[in-house]
Amino acid sequence: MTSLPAVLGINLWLVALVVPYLLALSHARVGHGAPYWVSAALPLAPILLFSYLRHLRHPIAATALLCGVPLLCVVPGADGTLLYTSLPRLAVAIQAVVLLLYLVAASRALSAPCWDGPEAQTTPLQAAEVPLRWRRRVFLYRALFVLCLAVPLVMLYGIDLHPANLRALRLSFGRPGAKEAGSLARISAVQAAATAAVALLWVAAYRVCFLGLLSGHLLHDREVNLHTAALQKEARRGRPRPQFYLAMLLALGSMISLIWRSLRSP
Amino acid sequence: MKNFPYFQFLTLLLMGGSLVFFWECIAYLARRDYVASGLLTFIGAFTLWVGSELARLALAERAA
Repeated sequence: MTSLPAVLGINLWLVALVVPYLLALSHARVGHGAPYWVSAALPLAPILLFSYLRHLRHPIAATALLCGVPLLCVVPGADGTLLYTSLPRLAVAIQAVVLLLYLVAASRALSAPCWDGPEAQTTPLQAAEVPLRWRRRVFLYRALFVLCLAVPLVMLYGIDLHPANLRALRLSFGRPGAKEAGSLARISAVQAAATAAVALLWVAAYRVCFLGLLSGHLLHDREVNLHTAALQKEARRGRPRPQFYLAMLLALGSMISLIWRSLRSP
Repeated sequence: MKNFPYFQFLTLLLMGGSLVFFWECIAYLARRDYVASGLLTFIGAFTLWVGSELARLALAERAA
């Protein structure tokens, strides 16, 4: 199982770094010097040491595999220096898909328990029917998995492949009359920055808004139940709290200032 | 009339009304009137706050 992330990592290294670098080299856009070869070879080290790093169980090892390898593969070409012409959309899509597959495989391998002994044998239980509660839970887990794949793919498509957005980017960042490669580099840089920002935003939103709620539910909603009981105890007063009057005052004040402003303006 | 859920109705009205303020905020942003859109954001947020306080009263009424 650990060979799959390593294979996907090598694939990512090839499509995101090596092939563009060799193409740029053949068009004399980059030099032949040692620094380029060293920076190109850097991502290989964690990939080839995947099994060892996985067994280390150290946060640095996980960071190197999940963040270091993709960044070292993608960053050298992010400023457009490795581009000699516009990349076909299929090439961009392949890079994105390989990156996503590598991240999924690496995450699964890192989260799997390390066991070097003989493979465990499993036999199914003799249960007659899966309870409704468990069927709902399985459906929810599958839906979360689909969501986790679908939303980033849609965002990647919107930023890097959607024709209307690409036209808008060319209008906004391409300089008319300038050399094709210069404006292309700017557009690529903007796309790379937007892709990275959207990926980080999605990871944070998914962790907080979906997995956070699910983990609370798996703990029998203790915090939610405590909060609801406190709320019911407080609500037994039957009268509005001072916050109600404050919120009403602030809302009315803001409305008055908006009306006053609109009357004053010509 | 006695059994009409006043607080629930008002809560829904205020929460729906806050969406109108947020919509207007976007419209003002499109017109590049940033002060007005900021004020409308605050109005929408405070309207939501009032709605949530009314929801607490609805909870009290239901518990009573």
